[in-house]
Amino acid sequence: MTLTVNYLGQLRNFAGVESESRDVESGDVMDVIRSLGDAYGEDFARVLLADDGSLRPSVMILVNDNPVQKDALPALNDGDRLTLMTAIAGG
Amino acid sequence: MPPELTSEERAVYEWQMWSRGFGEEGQRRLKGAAALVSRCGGLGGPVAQELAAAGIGKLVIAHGGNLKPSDLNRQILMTHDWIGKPRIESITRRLGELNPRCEVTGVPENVTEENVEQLVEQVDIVFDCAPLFNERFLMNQECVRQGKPLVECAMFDMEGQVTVIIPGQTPCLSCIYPEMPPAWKRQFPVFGAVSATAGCIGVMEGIKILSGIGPSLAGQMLYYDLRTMNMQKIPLQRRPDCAVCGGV
Ligand SMILES: [Zn+2]
Repeated sequence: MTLTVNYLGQLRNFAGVESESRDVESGDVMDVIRSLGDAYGEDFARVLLADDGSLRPSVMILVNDNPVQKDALPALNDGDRLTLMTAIAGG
Repeated sequence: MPPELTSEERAVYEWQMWSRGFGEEGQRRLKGAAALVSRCGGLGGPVAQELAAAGIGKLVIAHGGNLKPSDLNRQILMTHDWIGKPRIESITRRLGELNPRCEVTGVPENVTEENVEQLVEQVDIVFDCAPLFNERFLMNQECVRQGKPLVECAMFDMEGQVTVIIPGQTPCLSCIYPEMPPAWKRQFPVFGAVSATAGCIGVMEGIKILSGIGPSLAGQMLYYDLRTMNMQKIPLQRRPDCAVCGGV
């Protein structure tokens, strides 16, 4: 299936793109995040995933513009918009 | 009761008192209010400037260090002639020139564990404009403890995030971001216009809270992206197990 993935904050710099259409094999959010980490490298992955592979609490995830609970991630469907957002503090 | 306006103040603030729902009552509330702004650079500078121009009664500004050339692309309260000298002196001088009616207390330090309680005690509202998460978390913790509203303004590159924290009612900063983000660096890409956008949005939130008009961003985060010109309001949720506001 195909997702639109939006990168916000520092993720955008590591990915080098604001948004992209991406074919994924699984509708599991964690699988998608892991595959993005493989594609975009260590700095990108470190923002999203802790050393034990779990999702960092400082990451906000939106599916079709609605925030989702990290302990109850929904299954993604073809055409969904997945937004990955991180904390920023520029002043 | 909020203080009366002088005839000079009525003349200065006349055009904003025409704003629906604000009026002279709103202006008097603003005159009777005090705000902490920390820090006062690319984001806090426009915050302090717009609050002073709008007629807030008192500003407490916390900002340490000496002015560097690389500050000048965005820190609009700094002037070229002040390079190498304390930033806070440039800030207080410029605010005094802009609005001599505003009482400005300049503190030549950034927020620390030692000074945060005393800084927050002096004011009715806090504008968090700090570039480091440890300062942000300190202000959040102290605002929750003292029950004071916190306007959270943040930016990175061409993006911004603004929210309003009302202790006991809305998620606090630690509800939203329960840990120090691992990759955040002290230096970040910034245009002054992007940080000023976050600051101006934050100031309007503060003015609305202090004067009692309009719905604020309490419990919602406004995200903007000046690269793509997308803007979005994201609903936020409290964390019942939040280490900072869980018991409030
Ligand atoms: Zn909290």
